[in-house]
Amino acid sequence: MAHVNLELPAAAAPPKWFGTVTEQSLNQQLNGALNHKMHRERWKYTRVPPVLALLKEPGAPFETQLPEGVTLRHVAHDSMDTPAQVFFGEALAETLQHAPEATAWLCYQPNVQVLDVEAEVSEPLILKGAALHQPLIIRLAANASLDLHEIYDGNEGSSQLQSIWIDMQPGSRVQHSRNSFTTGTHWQYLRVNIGRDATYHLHNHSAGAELRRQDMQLICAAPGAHAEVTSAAFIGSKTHLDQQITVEHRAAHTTSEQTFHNIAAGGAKVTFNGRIHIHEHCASVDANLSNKNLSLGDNAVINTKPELEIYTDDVKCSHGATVGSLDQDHLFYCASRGIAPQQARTLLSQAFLQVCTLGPLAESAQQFLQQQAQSEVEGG
Amino acid sequence: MTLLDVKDLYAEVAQQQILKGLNLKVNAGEVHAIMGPNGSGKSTLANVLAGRPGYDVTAGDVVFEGHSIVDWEAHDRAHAGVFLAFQYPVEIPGVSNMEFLKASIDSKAFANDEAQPAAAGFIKEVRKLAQSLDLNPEFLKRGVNEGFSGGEKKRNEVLQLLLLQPRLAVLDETDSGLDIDALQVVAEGVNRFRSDDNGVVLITHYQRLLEYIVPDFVHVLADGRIVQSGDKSLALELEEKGYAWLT
Repeated sequence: MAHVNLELPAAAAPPKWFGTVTEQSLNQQLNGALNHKMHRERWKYTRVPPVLALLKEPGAPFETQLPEGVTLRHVAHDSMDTPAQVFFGEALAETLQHAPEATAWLCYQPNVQVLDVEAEVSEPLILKGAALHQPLIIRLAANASLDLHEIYDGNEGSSQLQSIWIDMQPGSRVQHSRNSFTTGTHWQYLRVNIGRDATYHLHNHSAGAELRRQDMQLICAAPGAHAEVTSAAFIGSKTHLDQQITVEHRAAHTTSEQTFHNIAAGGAKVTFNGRIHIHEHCASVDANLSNKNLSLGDNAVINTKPELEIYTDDVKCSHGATVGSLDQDHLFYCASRGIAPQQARTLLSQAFLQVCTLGPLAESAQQFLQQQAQSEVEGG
Repeated sequence: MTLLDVKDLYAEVAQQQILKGLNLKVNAGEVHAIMGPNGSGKSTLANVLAGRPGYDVTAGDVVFEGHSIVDWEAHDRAHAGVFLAFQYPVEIPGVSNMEFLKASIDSKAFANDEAQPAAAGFIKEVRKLAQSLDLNPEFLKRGVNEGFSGGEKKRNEVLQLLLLQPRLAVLDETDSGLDIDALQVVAEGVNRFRSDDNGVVLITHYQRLLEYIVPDFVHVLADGRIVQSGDKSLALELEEKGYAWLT
């Protein structure tokens, strides 16, 4: 890949709640992070400029009905109240090193939306609509719980951006379901800090798009924290999906489980980069990552890289990735029962995705993904 | 009435000749047991009859109900009434047993220009069949064979046999991995299937299955061809003497 000097749009003024960082220093750090070799590696298979172009645009607030127990406020740049200490203030340098674009987006927008969840919330919080959304910070108090639904569907080809930061206090729970089925340029950034005995579960369902990039950084920050991701995606002909996920275990006795199933149709381009990072002095961590890819046609490009980075001995950790086509034994078993090859291919493709299509949005996701798989098999 | 006529059949797998001039005739109402030592070609015969890709007929013919089926694809053979009960049934996560069974029966009905069964009645019938085979009906909600024990997988094969009602059932070592209770349940299911209208080719290593499913004929397969045929007493003789005296 040709080396291009990446630069953020000018005048990224830091919010006061970032801490003492100056505008000049912030811009230097952001551009440094953007051009760092690690960052370039993470963007090896997706062009950065279309995403950087989005950052110049004005964002719109999420328009949502707030369920009882959730309060919303808008935090402006000049606020002295840091909306999530865990990501900013002293943690800012680390945050912007990992996520320069998402950090920059916080600077370009005049407001961030902050949702406070103080208790168990029975109704789901639903976020939807195709837009460049202002950054959203969700804070869960101790023992609070939230069902978060993100729904991006229809044939909307317009550009989209979501940047969601979730800070979970001890004993809290988030069940996060996300259907991303639009067709244009779509960048999704998600960072979750999971506190003591807190549980975060993401059900991620996606389709390929002109450009769809999903960055996820899940941090098990205190003992008992648990992160779980199940993800199913169908990347249709000539569409793109790039998933970059990091699960960090920063405390002992934390657990994580990640399962990603992706189907790539002919001419599709899919990238998966999953990293489990276990820090020093984090004994008794149990972390597992699996990425399975199914190619349904010629000229599909599948890049997959599961990674482990472990700095503690006493941990249990596994990772794996497979790339292949439909299992011939499965196809013959179907045929032996009278199920014709095309129908068997449809059935088996749908089944491959179905095992990772879970949670409250599973039904609509299954309907969409199964239709995609059927169209691909029957069309091919 | 002749259901199956295997004529001087030669077949190879991965360019290795396995079947070398095999002849076998099965009439309606008959159960034929095929026995033989490891590597004699028993499972190859089962797969060739079912039309598994990679099992290539190089000479001879397989005639099923008057039609040569060697060039037919596996699903076409299934529609015509050939059924293979697998030695190692595969697990298919994500496709529920019930969904799989409905797809099977609908495909067969569609191919034979018959009406597809209504969902409610079908589900009731399948659940009843499962209970009769000592198979927890809740398992029907699981992926095909997913998390099943060896015995449950074999019972699931027999459930499919009873549901699809083929004309010819080829049972490939259905007794392997079964304890005595499961063996009796499976055998009872196969006996329930037996009728004057269908035939069974029962492939097994051991005589004990034949105590429960009494065959009309026993054949010994060795080095790709049938070297001895007889009645059920031949199985007892094999149990006593082994195969060496025949090969």
